[in-house]
Amino acid sequence: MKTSAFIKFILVTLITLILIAYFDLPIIVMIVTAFKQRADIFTPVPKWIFTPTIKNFVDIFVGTTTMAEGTLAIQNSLFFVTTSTVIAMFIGSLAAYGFSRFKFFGREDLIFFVLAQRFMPGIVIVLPMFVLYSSVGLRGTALGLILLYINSALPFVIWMMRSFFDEIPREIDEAARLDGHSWFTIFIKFVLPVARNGFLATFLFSFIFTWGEFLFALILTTPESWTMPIAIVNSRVSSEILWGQIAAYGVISIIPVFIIAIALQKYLVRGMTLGAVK
Amino acid sequence: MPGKSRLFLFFSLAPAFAFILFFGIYPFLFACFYSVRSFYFGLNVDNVFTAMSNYHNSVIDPLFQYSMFVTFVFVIVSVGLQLLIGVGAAILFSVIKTKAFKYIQVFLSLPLMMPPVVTGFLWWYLFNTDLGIVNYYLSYFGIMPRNVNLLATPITALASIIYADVWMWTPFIMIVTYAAIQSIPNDVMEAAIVDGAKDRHLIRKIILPRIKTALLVVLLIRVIDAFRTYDLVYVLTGGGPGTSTQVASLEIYNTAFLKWFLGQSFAQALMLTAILILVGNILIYLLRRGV
Amino acid sequence: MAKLVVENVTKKYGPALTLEKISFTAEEGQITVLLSPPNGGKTGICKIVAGLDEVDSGKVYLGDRDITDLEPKERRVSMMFQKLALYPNMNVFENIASPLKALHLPPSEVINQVEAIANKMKISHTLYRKPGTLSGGERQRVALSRALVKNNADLYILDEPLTNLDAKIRASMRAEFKILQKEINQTMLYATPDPIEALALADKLIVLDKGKIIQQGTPEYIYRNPINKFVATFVGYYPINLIEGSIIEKGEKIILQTNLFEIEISKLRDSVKDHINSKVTLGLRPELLNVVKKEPKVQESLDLFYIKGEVFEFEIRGSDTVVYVKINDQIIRVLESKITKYDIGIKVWLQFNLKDIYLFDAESGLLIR
Repeated sequence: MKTSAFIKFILVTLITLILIAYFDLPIIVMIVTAFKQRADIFTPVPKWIFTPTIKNFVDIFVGTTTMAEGTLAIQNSLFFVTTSTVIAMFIGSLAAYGFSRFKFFGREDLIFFVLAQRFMPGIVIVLPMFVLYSSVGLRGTALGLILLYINSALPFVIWMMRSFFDEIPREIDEAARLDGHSWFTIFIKFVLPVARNGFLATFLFSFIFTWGEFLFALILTTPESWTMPIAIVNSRVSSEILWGQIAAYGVISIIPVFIIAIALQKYLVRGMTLGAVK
Repeated sequence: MPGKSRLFLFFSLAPAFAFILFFGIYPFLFACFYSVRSFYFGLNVDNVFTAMSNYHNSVIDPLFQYSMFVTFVFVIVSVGLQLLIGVGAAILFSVIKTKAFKYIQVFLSLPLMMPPVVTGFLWWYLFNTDLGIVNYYLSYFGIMPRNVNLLATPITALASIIYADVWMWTPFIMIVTYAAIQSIPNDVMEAAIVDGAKDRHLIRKIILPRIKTALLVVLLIRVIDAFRTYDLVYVLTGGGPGTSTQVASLEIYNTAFLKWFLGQSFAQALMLTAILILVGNILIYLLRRGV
Repeated sequence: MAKLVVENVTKKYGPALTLEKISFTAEEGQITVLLSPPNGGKTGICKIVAGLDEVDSGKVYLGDRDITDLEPKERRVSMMFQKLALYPNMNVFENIASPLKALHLPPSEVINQVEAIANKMKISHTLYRKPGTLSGGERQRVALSRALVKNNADLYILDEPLTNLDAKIRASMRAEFKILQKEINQTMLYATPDPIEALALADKLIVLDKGKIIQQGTPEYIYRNPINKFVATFVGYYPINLIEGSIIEKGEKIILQTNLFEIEISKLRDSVKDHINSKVTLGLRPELLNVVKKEPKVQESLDLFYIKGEVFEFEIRGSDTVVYVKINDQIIRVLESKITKYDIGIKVWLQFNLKDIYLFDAESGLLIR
């Protein structure tokens, strides 16, 4: 028995190390590169020992002769993504609550219709929006992109939150109704707090999806309203590929998501399983 | 339903459906309408009804045909590998009964949280002939000469994209599958083990039947997303070399923003949608039938 | 305080349960108990009266108001749920204060009322704890407090308030509840699956099964005159003994013939005259039977019957003894409200009075007498 426990220990350790190396090494390389000077990056043999610098980050916030500053794009991303995610969470949770608590004719069809939104390739949505926004002057505006981001987060939010609400006993609502509270109060004060964990998981994933969104931003933004993914892509189109700065951009772009993810670690799995696991 | 409840139901659904109807139905109808017209954006070309010619021209266009082919290859190989590795690792961790996975899953899920554009750049850098560690270590161990540009030949370019996609999405499948296996009641697993079930039997007869629903949902999500992949390819190869990795989304984008022929790009986009709905419905059918 | 009238209420609850033409009245200031086995329809009736479920047809009146289509909060009813439905994110104070806050009472008033009811229910020490940290009994009291704190309600609905407690606490809570009910003197609708609880608490008892009202009346009346075998078996302290048999006429005499014994029931001629030569079921309540150890003397009175059997088993339950008497191959339960010990297998005589026997039509199950 002892030897088999030892073999198991070795096996587990080995697989764990391989998996972590496989999935995290590239990210470590990126983080390391972000702190390298130009000379340390352009070496034929990868350098693991070097003098770290924060010049790449400074370049992003100040700008260089070959690269526009990225402060605006970072601000834009934070603003667009936070606003749209918060609004989508509110609107989507409200709809999910309606779906969860009321039985009405055609309910299942409506829920399926919501899910079916995910079958539409982004390009089908964004091209008509490009034409529409161009004609009404919404192209390149914060409002235009935020509206689209709210819409693309909604199916996910509704789907997730409904599964969380379904798990909350209906007696909670019923008791609150008999206490004399209005439906809206019940939703805000009685049900939403109980669904807190699910709400946070849903928030995390909506944020991640919108934070990394590329296609809509590529087509609908102008340099003033570039989001970070667009700014990163555009920093490539210069005489020389600025690996250090791009890596620094990458590090900056994953920071808010990583912070949220580690803070909400407990709810991470729940968010990913998307109700696939009950 | 009393009046006030009815009113609340209406106002709970109304905002969300205002969005979904406008941003879901309007673009769809718009696309349908202009997909049968010679609609060029901003160009001085007559915008007239051309019946099905946009669809017809797309179907016989070798570039579009090829882009659909590449997309299918990408979806099947990439999602297939993700399933294989993800489910394999999840089952392995469950069968050897260790809690290790619980502690490392947040680290495994990091790729999932990267903006796809950043992922694209990262792998572009890692696959770089002169600077990337992939070429360096592959040549260091004598697997491949240093100066091979993986992103410059059609097959290796597609393989590289698939590799990056697998890297990005396998953790998702792994974590969902692991959670699904963990949700199998302990006594079922233990009873099987006490009965002397071999590992292979345990996996095939006990685990797989109980996680197939979860697997199908995951498969549905991944297949739909893989069909729509755009950002990763855009950054990593830009569809190149030549048009060898031009997936459907990219092809549609180019029709719209290089040729400015929106009418045709709508036709192509709707055909892609039709394929997605078809594939999606097959999976949902399997799901409902409870395969 | 007001009278509740439920009139011809029908509601389909899926394939397993349909409430059919439910009509009853809960009198002002009384406690009306809905008694049924699980899934018999009591929770549905509670929810319909509370306004949580809609009727398919029928009417509900409270006092002189038709409340059939009103929102719960417009009905002036209060309800305690079987699953308690305490708000897990709020502490006990906030839970109890919830109905008062909905009335927009001034904070000082809210505090006074919550503290008053908490004192009465002996849960003052838990006010600032979350429900999840309380014991089962404490949670029950919190839920009851929340239902009773709203003192402007016309009707208080209690859906299985004691069901989730373990047996010991349940008995003591039952006694406490009875005192409490006298004290607050309100109209109450009380649902329970427990016949002992129902008999102990009810001013009026309504027995339901599978969505239908089987019998209603005072507990004493229903206990004495169960309308059919179901009520006789269900409403009682111990399950009734049922013995199959038939009624035959032998000359002048009317005889009840079972495969255990034959007894003469000529005195019941009026009640059984339509059932002569038909199959019947004899019902004997365990608490109305006696066990006699010595051979009885010749029957002095025709109204007492003695049947010979042997002791098969006995159990002492507190101050009661349950004796299982074997006659032929059937076991008859007897409840003696004293402690008696028996040697297994000894001969005994089962004694019962003619007036205590129940006769049911074997086919329809309806009470003959």
